[in-house]
Amino acid sequence: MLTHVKKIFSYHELLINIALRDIRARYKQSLLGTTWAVIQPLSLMLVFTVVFSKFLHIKTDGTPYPIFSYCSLLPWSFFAASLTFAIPSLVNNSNLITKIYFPREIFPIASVLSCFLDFLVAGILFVFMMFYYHIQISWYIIFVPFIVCIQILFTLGIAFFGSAVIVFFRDVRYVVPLGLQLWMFATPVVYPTNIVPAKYLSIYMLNPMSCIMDSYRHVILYRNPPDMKYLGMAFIISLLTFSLAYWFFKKVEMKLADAI
Amino acid sequence: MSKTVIKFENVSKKYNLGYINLSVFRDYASKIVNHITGTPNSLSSKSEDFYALKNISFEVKQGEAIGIVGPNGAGKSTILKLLANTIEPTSGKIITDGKISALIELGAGFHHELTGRENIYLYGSIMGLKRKEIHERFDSIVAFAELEQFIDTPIKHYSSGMYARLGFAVAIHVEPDILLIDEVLAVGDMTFRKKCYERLHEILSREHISIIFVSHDIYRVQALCKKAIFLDKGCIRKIGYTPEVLSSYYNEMNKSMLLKESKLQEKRWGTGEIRITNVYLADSAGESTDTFEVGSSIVITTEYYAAKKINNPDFRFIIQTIDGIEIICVSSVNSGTIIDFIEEKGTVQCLLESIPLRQNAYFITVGISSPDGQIDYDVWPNAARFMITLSQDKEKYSLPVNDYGLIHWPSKIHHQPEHL
Repeated sequence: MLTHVKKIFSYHELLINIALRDIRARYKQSLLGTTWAVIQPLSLMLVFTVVFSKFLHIKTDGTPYPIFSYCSLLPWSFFAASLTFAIPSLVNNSNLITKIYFPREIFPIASVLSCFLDFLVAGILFVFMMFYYHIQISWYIIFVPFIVCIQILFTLGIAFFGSAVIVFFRDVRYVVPLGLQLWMFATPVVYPTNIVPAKYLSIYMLNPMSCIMDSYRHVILYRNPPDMKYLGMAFIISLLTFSLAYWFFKKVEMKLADAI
Repeated sequence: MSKTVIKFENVSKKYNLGYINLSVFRDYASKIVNHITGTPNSLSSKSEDFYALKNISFEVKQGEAIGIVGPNGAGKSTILKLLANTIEPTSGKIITDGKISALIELGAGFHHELTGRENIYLYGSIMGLKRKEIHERFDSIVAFAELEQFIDTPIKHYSSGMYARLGFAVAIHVEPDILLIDEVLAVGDMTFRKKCYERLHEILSREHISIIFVSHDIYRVQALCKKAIFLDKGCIRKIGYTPEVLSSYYNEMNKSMLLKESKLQEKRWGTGEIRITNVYLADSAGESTDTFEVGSSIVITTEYYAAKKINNPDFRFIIQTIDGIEIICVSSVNSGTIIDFIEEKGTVQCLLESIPLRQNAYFITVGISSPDGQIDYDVWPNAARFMITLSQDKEKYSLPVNDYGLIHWPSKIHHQPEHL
């Protein structure tokens, strides 16, 4: 494991170059450029505000619904975009995979990295919204980087697994958008966790993304510490997912060029 | 004795042909359904093993250039992929020593939306260069590609030649220990191609870089590589000095050409007012043969039948190599023989004196046209074929290793030292 990490580090320039390529290619010849990174979660937030807040009058513990949903739509968009780009990344670069060797995990990692930069850009708007809605900041905000790290760990796990499997089964291409849509509604992104019936809560929280979204809200909006039981569980599940997926990825790595 | 940088030990690469079909889940499902219902499995007939390489062993020393030739599907690219470490052998061992760079499919890592400058950094890092190294070589890369003016233009606006030039320029600046080249140099205009080969020769002259060169351009293989491998159906048919390997490759290609020859006859064209009825070869003594020694004379005899009277026909004889390069074209008009008219049957003989071709196989195309070349009465591609063999008198026409090129030009070299 450590040797793999060292190896990836020795390829860090390639990693950055591929991530930069992905970002530049995504926004070149588009009028609004990186603004799209903001427009996506923003437009989702507007739609959900109309539906959930104006039509359904969902209760959000006193937090204005726009910032309540943007606080979770932002990391969720990061998660969804990462998987959307990372899972087909090996297949999309098949001409390189079959010709030149470097650690294959560079591609999914670069996809996640490029989406992380979008996430940071979209985060700027969140900071403005915090001021606009007069959200007080507590010390608990220092948890945010840790929660982001757990989220990235989990994202990478799914990305490694998905990007390797799609090489053998192209069906994954159709599963990803459908799966992400279902997953979003199984996660407290556009509604608060407390509307989930208590008897389902333990199953509901097995989804690491649920714990992660809930934790973001606690430390940013509610000025609470995160629920350490759930966050710890999310960390363990994420670590397991990541380790298993990475082991699997390395196991099939040399078979990729033959199957792609 | 220089060290060995590449070593293949009994390397085999097996593909399961049915494996390809498994990329769709549906095939699995149909297998399961078939299994349950007891229908014979349609896929099982396809899932036979296919050996892309069978027990390949060879070595490459530091500073050596080795050419790999062979027909399509011989396994040439599989060897390069194994060397580039993108696939693993099914059995056997591959040992490599040094940094390997692959000059395969120029611009595989390019992105259309990015500028030339951005692509140099991207492609350079894919090829294993550090940012600092690319920075140092940047000007030289741009100069080599001759793209100073367009370096900040997105490469989607590039012509295919510019694209290829940029790819080659980056790849050639990587300066690895082992350079893999696969059929990529057939790009760009002639001057750029020449520049690429000069650069490859320069790299080789530095003596520490080894090159694996896969090409169908056997003249390039001859010019660049002292050693060669002739690969066929995954096996090494011959390995050794390039001229010997290439001549056995030629012989082999000849045999397969011969099998197709009956089909070739159908590819004649022309108005049909004159028909070539027969073409045969003889040596200077009039003995019918199709094998000649280097430097001997060939008589081509053409029998024709003209349905009506045709004035001033021009008989042409074109000698071609197996790969279609036209070496000699003899025309009755140009050689000063005016045939006033032809009617009904007759023969035309062409004497090719002391033919300066190298040991190889050649084809003759015979054609009859109007003197201005506007009308083709009958053109018969590959109407006859012949072999040039080494002279029995080895001293006269030996074939040293450093001897290559299309023709054998009898020549004398005189040396006069100035000291004492």
